Amino acid sequence: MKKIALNEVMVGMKTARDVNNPRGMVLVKKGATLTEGVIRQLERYDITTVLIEDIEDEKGTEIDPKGLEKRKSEQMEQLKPIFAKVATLPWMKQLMDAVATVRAGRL
Amino acid sequence: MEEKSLDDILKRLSDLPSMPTIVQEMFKVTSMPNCTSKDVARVLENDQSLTARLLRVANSPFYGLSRKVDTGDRACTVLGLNTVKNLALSVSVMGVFKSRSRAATFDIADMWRHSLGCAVAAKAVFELRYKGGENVFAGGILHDIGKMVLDIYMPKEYKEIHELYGKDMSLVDAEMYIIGRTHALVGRLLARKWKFTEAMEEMIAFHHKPALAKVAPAQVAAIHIGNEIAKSLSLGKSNELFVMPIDEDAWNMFFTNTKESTLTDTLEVIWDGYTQIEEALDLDG
Repeated sequence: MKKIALNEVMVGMKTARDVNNPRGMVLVKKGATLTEGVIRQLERYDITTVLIEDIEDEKGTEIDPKGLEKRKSEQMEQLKPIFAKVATLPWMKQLMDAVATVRAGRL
Repeated sequence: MEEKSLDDILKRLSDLPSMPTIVQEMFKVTSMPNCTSKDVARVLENDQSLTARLLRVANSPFYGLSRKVDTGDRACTVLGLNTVKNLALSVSVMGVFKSRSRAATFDIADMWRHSLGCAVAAKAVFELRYKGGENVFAGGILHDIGKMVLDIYMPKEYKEIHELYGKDMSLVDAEMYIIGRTHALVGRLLARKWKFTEAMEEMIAFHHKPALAKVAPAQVAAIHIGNEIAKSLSLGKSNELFVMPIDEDAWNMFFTNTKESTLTDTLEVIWDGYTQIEEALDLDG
């Protein structure tokens, strides 16, 4: 477990403890994978540091940007059938891409 | 045969459930010019289980309260009357259909999960450009209410509809084919019977055709987009198998001249919000 400043955490890292606001409300649960969105939310709550699981525990795969890319393309494949009717529309493609990005960061 | 079945539907629909008393009271009280938190709290006192659920939702991180609220009165003061009214509407209508539904054709809890996904998504999308998405949240909860009505009043026909639609036929096309009416129209009839606001009626009636909205086009567009976002993030399970095309004008109302990250950020907020409220509502319970 390592204490890391919020401006140094990377997408894909996992929290080793619950992240609470000063009043004790849980913002992010222990074991959650940090995504762009989660990190930005923590910034909004003025959180400055986060306890992160050791990278060795994760075998380094979780914070590997290539791993994230790979997961995203897997998600794109999974989304193809449900987007089958709309994939030619540029804004629907944009939505599909964003959904794949978000899912890749979380699943 | 077709004609007879149409008459039949309208006759059966004249027998729609009546609006929950607590919602009637809530509408009455909040429409009074000098309505206070105390007035609303007094209405809520009549339904402890509704209040308990409402407070759980209000205390979920989605609403970002710094301190826990534990009474209806406090909830009104902190969240505002409009939010409490719309939450009470959402939670109590979910209650009405949960107890009545035979759920012959779909899992009612899954259905509510999809509606909750739509509600959270529509509110988040709406608030990209406008303030006060509380009625949009309620609109998302209620947008598919026509499906619940059809499930209760026309279980046989609705089962046929479900057997028919699929790869080559959308749910709405199947509804038109079998009963000549869509769940959106049936929902609209209920909205009228329950004297919902015109904006709410449009959110239910036009969630597949946002261009038809006259009174509340931005709200309707947000519901239309939220519906497809909920499906694409697999928040709950709609009984539609595919993501349907989002109306381009509706999309452009919220996602033109935005940063590239706006869409993914919004989806992250929606996912978190959905998870938090789903837990608070305990839909299987």
